[in-house]
Amino acid sequence: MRFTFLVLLFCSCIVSITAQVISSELEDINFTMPSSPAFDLLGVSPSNIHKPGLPRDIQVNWLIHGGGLAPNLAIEAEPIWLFFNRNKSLTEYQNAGWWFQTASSLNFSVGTAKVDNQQSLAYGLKLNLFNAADPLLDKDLIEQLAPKFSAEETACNQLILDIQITTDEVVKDSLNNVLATLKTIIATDSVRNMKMAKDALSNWEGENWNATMLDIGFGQVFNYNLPTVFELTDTTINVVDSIEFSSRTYAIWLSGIIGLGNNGMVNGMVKYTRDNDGTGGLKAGLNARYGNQKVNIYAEYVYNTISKLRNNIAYGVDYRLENGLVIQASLNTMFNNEFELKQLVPTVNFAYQPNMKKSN
Amino acid sequence: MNKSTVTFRYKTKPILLEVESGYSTLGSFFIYALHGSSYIELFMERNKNIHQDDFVHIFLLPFDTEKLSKTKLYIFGKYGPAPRHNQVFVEYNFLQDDKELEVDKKKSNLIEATLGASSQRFFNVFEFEFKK
Repeated sequence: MRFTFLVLLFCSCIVSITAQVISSELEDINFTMPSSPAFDLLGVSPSNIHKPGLPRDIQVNWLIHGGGLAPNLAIEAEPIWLFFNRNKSLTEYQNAGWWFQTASSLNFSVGTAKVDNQQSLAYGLKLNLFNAADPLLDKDLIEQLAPKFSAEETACNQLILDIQITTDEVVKDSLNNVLATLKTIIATDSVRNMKMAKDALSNWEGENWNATMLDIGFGQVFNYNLPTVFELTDTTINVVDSIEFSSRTYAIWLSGIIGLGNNGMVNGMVKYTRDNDGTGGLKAGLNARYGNQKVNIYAEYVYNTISKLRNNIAYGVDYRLENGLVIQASLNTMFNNEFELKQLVPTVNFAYQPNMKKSN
Repeated sequence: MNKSTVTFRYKTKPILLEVESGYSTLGSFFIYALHGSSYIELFMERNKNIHQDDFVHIFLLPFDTEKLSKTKLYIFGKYGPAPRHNQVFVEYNFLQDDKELEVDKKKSNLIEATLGASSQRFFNVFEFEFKK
């Protein structure tokens, strides 16, 4: 187990460091605010229903779950995209077919969470099986983003040629003056054109934030008991000073999104989990969202056969800031079989996607 | 501006211009021929935009090779990377008799740049020299 932990930690560090170098140079489109599979597996995500998403290069999540400020962290990345497919051309990606495009979406995440007296570590692998709005396959978007000469730039080209063929020095000087003025206009226009390209991306994101998607995932959770404060302070008890393995859980899930008009989205999930002692169960639910790519509110219902509190209803909000920071907050209400309220769990997650918007 | 001289070997055989937009380049380019005190835009009717990277555009240069030494070819390009990419690569090659013609300055017919999300204009001039 220690070996597995070290391998996971090593992989996450390598992916994290490499991804940070690469992602700073990437113009990425990511508008879906997908949830972290590791936090989903640990059961501490703001939403209990995994939300599929487009590949992003890297995402770091810091989560406050229930009371306190426990350092629950998750890191995730798309290793196949980052290390292999990012270096392929757009044409190769477009012509490669479903397998290649699906492999690009492989997402690896690792995270830890502390709940009560238990520390848990989880890793998750997920694949995007279907995505109705991949920007790399949208020819209209690519045509819109492809650089074109403006009228001023075309005039500038012709002026350069006029200067080349003119023998009269006076005319040449005046043409050079016009060229200098034109270059100033072009410099100003290039800022405007960059803004127009950003607006085109932003509009595309707005139109496709609730595009249909389907994800499949697999993951494992390792649970460890922590020594209690009583055990640590009582010198008469011989306490083991490190965490102690308690259980392991496997999970496999299928989750999808269907858009409803411009502002609605329905997100569903079915998850099967199995503990190392052989007990298993299902978790299934639906989440309804209203909003846009920047801010959306949701309500969800999840039926959980694993827990005594089988009925979960959560309310939440996702808010995406300009600098790549996403804030997700929720209130999870948990009910027993008789629908009596037994627990209220507030959760706040800060997700940082460094390459989501590049300002240059 | 990038200036190069292309050496051609036959005065009777046509010359082809091959514009290869390597990955991950999208953009647009204009070709002009300058001869003495006049210039004309070549291949005006074509689609000037590149919406697919890894693409080769081939043009048969409509020049009288006898007068080629007095002709200059101007290529104005505006290129940017495809979404989720950051580099551009464009190669201007000249072919005669199925052979690539020699360009005096190594790599002067290549455009290679890392641009991030932005685009940039590039300006290449080719002169021609006959050598047996």
